[in-house]
Amino acid sequence: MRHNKPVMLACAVMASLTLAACSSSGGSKDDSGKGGPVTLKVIGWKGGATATEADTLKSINAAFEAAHPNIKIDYVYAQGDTYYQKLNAELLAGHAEDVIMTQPSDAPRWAKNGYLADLSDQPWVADLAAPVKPLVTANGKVVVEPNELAGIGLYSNMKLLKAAGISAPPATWPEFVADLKALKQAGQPGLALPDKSAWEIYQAINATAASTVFAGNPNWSDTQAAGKATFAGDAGWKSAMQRIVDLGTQGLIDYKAQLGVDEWSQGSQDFEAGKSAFFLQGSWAMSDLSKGADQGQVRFTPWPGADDGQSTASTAVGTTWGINARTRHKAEAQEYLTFWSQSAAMTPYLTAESSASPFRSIPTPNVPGAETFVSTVAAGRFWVLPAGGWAGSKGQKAMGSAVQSLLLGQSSVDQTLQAYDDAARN
Amino acid sequence: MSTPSKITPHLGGRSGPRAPVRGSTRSRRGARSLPARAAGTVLVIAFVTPFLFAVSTSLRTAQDVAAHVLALPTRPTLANFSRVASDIHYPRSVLNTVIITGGTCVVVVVLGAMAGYALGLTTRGWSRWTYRAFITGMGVPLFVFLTPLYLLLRDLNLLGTTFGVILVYSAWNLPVAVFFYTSFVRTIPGELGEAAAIDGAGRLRTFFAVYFPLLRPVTATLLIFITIAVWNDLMVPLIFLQDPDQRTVMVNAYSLLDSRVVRPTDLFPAALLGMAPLLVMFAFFQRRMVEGMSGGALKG
Amino acid sequence: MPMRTRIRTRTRSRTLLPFLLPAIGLYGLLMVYPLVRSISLSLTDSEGGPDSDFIGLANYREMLHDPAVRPALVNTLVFTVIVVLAQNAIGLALAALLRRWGAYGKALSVVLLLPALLSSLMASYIWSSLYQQDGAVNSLLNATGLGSLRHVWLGDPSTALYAIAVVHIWMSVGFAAAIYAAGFRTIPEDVLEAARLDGANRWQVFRKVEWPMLAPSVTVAVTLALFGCLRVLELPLVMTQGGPANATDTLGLSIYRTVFDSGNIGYGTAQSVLLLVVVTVLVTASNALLRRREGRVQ
Repeated sequence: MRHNKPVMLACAVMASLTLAACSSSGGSKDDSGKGGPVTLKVIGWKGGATATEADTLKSINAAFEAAHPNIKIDYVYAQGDTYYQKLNAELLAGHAEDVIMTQPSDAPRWAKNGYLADLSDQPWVADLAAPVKPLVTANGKVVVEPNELAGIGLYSNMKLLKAAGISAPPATWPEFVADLKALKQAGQPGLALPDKSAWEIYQAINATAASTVFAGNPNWSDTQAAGKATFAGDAGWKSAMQRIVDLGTQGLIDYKAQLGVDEWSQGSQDFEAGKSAFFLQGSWAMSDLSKGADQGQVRFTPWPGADDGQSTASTAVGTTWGINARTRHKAEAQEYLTFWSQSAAMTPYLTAESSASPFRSIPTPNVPGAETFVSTVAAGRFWVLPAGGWAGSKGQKAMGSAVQSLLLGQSSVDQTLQAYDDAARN
Repeated sequence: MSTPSKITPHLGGRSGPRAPVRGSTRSRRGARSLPARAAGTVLVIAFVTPFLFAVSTSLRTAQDVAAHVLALPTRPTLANFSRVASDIHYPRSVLNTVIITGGTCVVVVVLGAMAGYALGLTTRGWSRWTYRAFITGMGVPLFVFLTPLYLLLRDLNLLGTTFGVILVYSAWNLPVAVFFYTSFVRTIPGELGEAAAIDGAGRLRTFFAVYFPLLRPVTATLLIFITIAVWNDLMVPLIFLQDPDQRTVMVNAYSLLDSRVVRPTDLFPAALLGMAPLLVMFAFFQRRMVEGMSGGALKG
Repeated sequence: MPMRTRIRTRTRSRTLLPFLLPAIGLYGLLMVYPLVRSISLSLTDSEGGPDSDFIGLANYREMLHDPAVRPALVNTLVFTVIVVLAQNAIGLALAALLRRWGAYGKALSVVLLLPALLSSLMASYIWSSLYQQDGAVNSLLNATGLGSLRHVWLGDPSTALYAIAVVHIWMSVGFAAAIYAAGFRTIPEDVLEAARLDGANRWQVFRKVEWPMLAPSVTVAVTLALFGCLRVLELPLVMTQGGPANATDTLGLSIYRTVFDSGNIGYGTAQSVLLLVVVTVLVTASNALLRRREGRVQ
C-alpha cells in the first residue's frame, strides 16, 4: 500500500490538472472579420436587482437585435461591488467588454487612462440637453452617453398621509414640517432617512440645497470649483444642513436609529411595507416602491426644500454608456449607443427608471405618481448634481461620514461644512 | 524553534504525536450528566440559530417573510430553493467549483508538504528566511495585488482557464500549508528519518513512506481550511474566469443577489445552497480526520 | 556524535532543496512577483492607466496626514485584539469541555464548525438582517425580558464594532477549538495520570500540565487568528460600510475603497503596504514570544 502512495498521488495530480485543462474553454471567442455575425459584449450594473430592470434591459436589447440582425448582444450583469473589481482589472489588461456602463464620476478618470473611446463625433451629441453635456465631457471630449436624468426626491405614501388629514405631498419646507407634525399626532409613521451607507442624508441636504442654494444661484458649483465660494461661507448650505438637523431636535425623526438601516435594501422595503410615510430615494426606485402594499398611493415629488413657492428638483445623471477604447467592434458599439439615444430604447428605459430624458428630442415619459416631478423638470426648475459630488467618490464618502458625525451629535453644522470644504479641496 | 530531540524525552520514548488511549473512565465522566447536556444544548442553539433562521426563512414565501420576520413556516415551500438553484445554474457551478477546489487542494498539499518537510528539517539561515517569506504572504489580502496578478496571467496566457485559477489559489494558500507542515514536521523526531536512511531509503522514499503518513492529521485540517477558503471565495473566479460555463457557485450566487435590494427569500436559499456541498465534503473529512489520528495511535 | 550530525545536516540541506523548489517557484511567481510590482505601484500616482508618474514616498506621507487612515488602523487593532483573545479563550474552553464528552463532544465540535463553512459575505448579510432594529437579536432580547438591552447594533457607534466582532468570533471559534482539541490529543495520557496521582485537581492539571503542553497549539491558533482579523474586509463592508461615522472602518476596507471606488491604485497599494507592515510586525512579535514560550515550557 505504502509503495503505491507516490504513484497514487502523481495520478491524482495529473487527473485533476487534466480535468482542469479540459474544462477550460480557452477564454473569449474571437469574432474578427466582417461579414459574420458580431457579438457585442455589454456590461452593466443594472438588470438584475428587480424583475422590471431585468425585463426592460432584455427587451431593449432584443429590440436592438431585431433592428440589427447581424449583431448579437451578450449582456453581462455584475452588481455593485463586484462590478468594479471585475472591470478595473479587465480595463487594465485591455480585456474589458465592448460597451461599458459607466458612472459619470468615473468617466474623467477612465478617459484619462485611455479606457474610453472619444464619442464627440456621434450623432446624438448635438441632441444632449444643455445641463447634461458638461457631465459627460472630459478634457473637452464627450466620452460617455447619458441614459437618464434621474431625480432624487421625496416619496410619499398617500394612504398614510390621508389618514393624517394631508391631501397632497408638501411642496415647501414649512408644509413638510407641518405634515410631519400632523403624522406624529395622528400616530402614523413619519419620515425615514436610513443612512447606513452615508448616502441618504447627504443627498437630503443636497436636495434641500437645490432650493436654498441653487434656485437662486444655478452656477454655484462652478464658482466653488473656481475657488470663489465655500460650503462653510454659504448661508444657503448652512440653512439646508440646519433644517435637516432640526428635524431631529424637534423629535420628528430618530437619526440614531436611522443610521443603522440601509437606505438601499431595508429602507426601500420598509417604505414598500408602509412603515414610513416619507422617504428619500432616486426616481429609479419608483417602479419598485409603487409595487408595495399601497399600490397606486405612492407619489414622487421634488424634495420640499424651498421656503415658499415651489421647490427645485434635484437630479443626477444616472447610468451612461461608454465604449471601450480597445474594442474590436467599434462600429457596432457606436450603433448600440445610437440606438440608445432613440425613443425605442429611451422610452421604455426612462419609464422603468422614472427618470427624465437627457436628450432634447426625446420627451420624458409620464410616470403615474411622478407627474409633479416631471413637470418641475420640464419647467426648467431643476439642478444637476456634479458627477461624483464636489469631491470625487472618496470625498463624497468623507462628506457622508461627516454628516453622520453631525447627526450623532459629535460635531456642529459649521464644523461639518468645514469638513465639506476640506473634502472638496483634496 | 525547538528541534525534534527536545520533545522526545518528554514523550518518554520513540513516537510521533499520538492520541492518548481513551480510558473508559474518561467517557463515562461528564457526557451523561445533566448540566453537561444542558450546557451542550445551549451551545448548539447559540451557534446554530442563525442557520435555523436561514432554513426557516427559506421555506417561506416572500410576502410571508415581509409581514412577519421571525415566524416559523406555516406552509413550507421548496419553491425558493428550486428557483434559486436554477438561477445560479447549480449543478454546473458546483462541478466547476469542485474541480477548482480539488485541484487546489492537491497542488497545495503536495507542494506544501514537501516544502514543510524541507524547511522543518533544516535550521540553517536561509531556511528561516524562506519560512518567513512564506508566512508573510498569509497576511496580505489578495485584492491588493490583483491587478499585477491579472496582467501576469494574461502574459502567461492563463486568463480564462481553470488551470490558471487553480495556480492562483495554490500560490495563495501555500503559506498556510507551509506554516502548518513546517510546525508539525518539527515535532517529528529526527530518529525516524534517520532510521529510514539507515534502511537505505532515498530522500523521496523517506518523505512519502515515513513523513507524509505522519502528517495526515495536518493534511486533514489543511484540506478543510483550504476547501472552505477556496469554495467561498468570490473575487478570483469572478475576475479570472469570463466564460459563464466556468463560473463557480459563489460567483453565480452573488450575481443573483444585489447588495442593495437584499431579498431574504433569495439570500438565505443561496447561502444554504452554497454551503451544502461543503457540509457534505466536510462530513466526509471529519471521519478521515479521526481515522488518521487513531491510525497514528495504532502505529506508536 | 556532534560531528556526524553536522555532516548529515549539510548533506541533508542539499538533498532537501528539490523538495522546496516547486513551492518556491509557484509562490515566487504568483505571489511575490505581483506583490513586488504592487509595492512599486505604491511609489507612483497610478490610477490604473498607462501613464503614471513616480512620486517616491508621497503616498506614504499623505497617509500620515490622512484623517481616515488613523481611525481605520485603530479600529483594525482593537477589533483584532478583541477577536483574537475571545476566539482563543472560548475555543480553548470549548475544546477542554468537549473532549470529556466522547461521541457527544465530537458531534458538538462539528456543530461548532458550521459557521466556518459560510462565506464571510453571506454571514455578513445574514447577521445584518439579524441585527436590524426589529430583527431577531432585538426580538429575542424582548422575548427573554432583556428588552432594555436593545440597541441599534450596527447604527450605534458604541456597539457597531463589537457587533461585527461577534460575527467573526462566531465564524472562527470552531476552528480554534479544533486546533486546541488536536493539541489536547497530543498530550500523552501517562503524563496526565502522573499529575492526577500526585493529587492535582482538574484545574491544577490544566494549569501545570496541559496548558504548557498546548503551547504549540496556542502559537498556531493565535497566528491564524491574527491573520484573519487584521485584514477583515467583508464584514464591515456589508454590515456597516465602515460607518457610522467611521466607527467600523478597517484598513482592509479602506484599501478596498481606495483601490476600487476611487481608482487610486498608487495610494491604495501604499495603504496595503502599511497593512503588510502591521501584520508582519504583529505576527513576528507574537510568534517570537509564543515560540520562546514553547521552548521554555517544553
